[in-house]
Amino acid sequence: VDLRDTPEEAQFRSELRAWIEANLPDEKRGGRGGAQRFEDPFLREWSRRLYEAGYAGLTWPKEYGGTGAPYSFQAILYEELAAAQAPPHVGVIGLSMAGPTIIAHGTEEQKARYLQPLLAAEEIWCQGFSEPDAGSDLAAARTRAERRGDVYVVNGQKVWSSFAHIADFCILVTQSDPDAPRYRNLTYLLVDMHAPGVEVRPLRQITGEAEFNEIFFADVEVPVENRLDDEGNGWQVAMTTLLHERATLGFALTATLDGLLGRLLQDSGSPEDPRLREAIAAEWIELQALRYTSYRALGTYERTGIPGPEGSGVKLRWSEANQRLTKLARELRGPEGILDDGWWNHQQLRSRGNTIEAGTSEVLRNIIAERILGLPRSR
Amino acid sequence: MDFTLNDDQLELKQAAHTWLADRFPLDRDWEAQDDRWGELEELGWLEVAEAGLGFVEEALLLEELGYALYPGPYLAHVSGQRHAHGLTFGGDGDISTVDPTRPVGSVEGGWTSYETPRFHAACAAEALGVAQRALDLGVEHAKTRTQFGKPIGTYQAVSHPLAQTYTDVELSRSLVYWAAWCVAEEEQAGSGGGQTPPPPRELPAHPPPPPAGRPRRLRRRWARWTRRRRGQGVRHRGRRRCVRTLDPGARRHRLHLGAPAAPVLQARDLARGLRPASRRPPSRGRGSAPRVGE
Repeated sequence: VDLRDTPEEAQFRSELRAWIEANLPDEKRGGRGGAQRFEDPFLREWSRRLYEAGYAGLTWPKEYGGTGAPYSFQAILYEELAAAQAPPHVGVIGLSMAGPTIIAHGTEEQKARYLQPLLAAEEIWCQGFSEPDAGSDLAAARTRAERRGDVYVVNGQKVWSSFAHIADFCILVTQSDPDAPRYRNLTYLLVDMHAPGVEVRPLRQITGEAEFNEIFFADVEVPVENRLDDEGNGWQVAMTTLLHERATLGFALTATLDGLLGRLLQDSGSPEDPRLREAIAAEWIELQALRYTSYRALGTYERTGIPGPEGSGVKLRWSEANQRLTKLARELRGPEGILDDGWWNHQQLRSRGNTIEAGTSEVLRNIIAERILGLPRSR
Repeated sequence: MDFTLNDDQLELKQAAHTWLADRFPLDRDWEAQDDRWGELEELGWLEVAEAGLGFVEEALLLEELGYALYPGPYLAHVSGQRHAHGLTFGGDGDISTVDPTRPVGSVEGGWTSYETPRFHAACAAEALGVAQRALDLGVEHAKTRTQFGKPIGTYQAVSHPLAQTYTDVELSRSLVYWAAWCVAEEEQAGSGGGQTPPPPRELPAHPPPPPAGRPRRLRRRWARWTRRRRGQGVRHRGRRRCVRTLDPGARRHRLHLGAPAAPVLQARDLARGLRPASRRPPSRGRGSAPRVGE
């Protein structure tokens, strides 16, 4: 146990700080997140700068456009970006889900084709997993992929797909063999979102924005070379995606929460009420607990290269903490909390989805119960 | 930055676990109260500093002692140890024994180390072990007890609270190791001396001897005792922040580490740039400080 930066880490941190100072204008800090951020062309410019400086795909292998840095650097990157209230890279799904999955399961051709444009924010990715009748139960996906010669013909519907409205590609889980046993019946495809037959319809959220979408596929032809791993292996590939989603998510989430808490303290006007003060302190402690739990998970990740199931616990507790914190911020602001520029209003409304997205809290508790505690399966 | 236990620490923890499991099984004679203090001494647990080890290792031992529901005064021993940073028993340094089976006692004259981060981190480490044991026993029960023809752990009404408890334990573990590292760093640096020591104060007593053969009730008593010992939530949260300030990566403020509650609250404010609260003492007791937002 040593929480000090190593000399290499300290150097990376100070270079990064200087780089952020030089590249991130003040007026682009502290954005409220959500769908609105994609309307600003600066976001792509910022993402490209991150890539050119080697900060996008920091831990990815060099041959695929990454920097090959250790995972602890990724943690530092998240911390420093959050401290600077910097906007995220535009390719959120690509960086945390599509990219790692392609690295793990893709052919050399696929890696060469997709990874670099993803990092450079030239191509945006979205995720096609959930369906109206198959959300948490991914193995029940019914979007059909039928092999016809050199193509798969895809028909069906996906839902809750973040950023599909701006996406160029989709990581799509399809049902390729209805007669195959469960978990052997899925095939994972990389689908061009501009192909004929793909239709994206925005879903209006409680925030008033449409950050996520429904995607409809009507006889969409996907070349066979866009299949990731073997036919019928989609379940294994999808599990890789979800593990990476939760593993790399931990630091990003904790860093975001840190930023929110900082802003809350700035905006709170120093409450005298001991109840409020205690509530703030409690959230601060929870934040540290999440932060250091992510550090502990990082150790496992660095040793094995595979994120452990501990990430599920961090996601579970983060979503609850984020909901409490944004609610607390609204309370601290009093009536102003609703009447101000809407920053906290947006944060609180947006946080309501945290316990549903990226694995519902119920699913995460199932995962912890079955895979960590070894309890019998509930289904 | 490496927030994992090194091989030596893992080995120590495992060895302690095995030894304690053998000496203090759950089906032991709870009336006997043999704390095997002599054996602890032989193992070198009473003077870890002599083995070149620090508070992180002591915290690991405490965690395992908590896990074994160890009946002896190791916590008091660890909390009261002399240390380079000026935590000593003043006066004659005697610790008078209040209970022959649980010799924790109080300090005659001088000051105690009760108000230190070391003490709080030690309490937390021990409580972590107790919590882990409670979780393990709960999980074991959920796997073996059947109802409606299935193990009860099949039902989400049972498995989800256990999963949530698992996250409680893991998050606590992170805080404990972090706090332990901060204390160890501080002690190694030999700083922190010269603080105004707190007034004499009785060391908290260990929980009363457990009833025979009732580990569940014992754990509950342990939990209650830990809560009492930690004091009310506001005070305790302030303490954790004291420990936080020892983290070299954090915003640093020199604090009165040994001082009681009011300065702690101010320290918390300092650390985050809030104005100090009015000098109203924090209210005490159950229900007086409800959580906001629940």
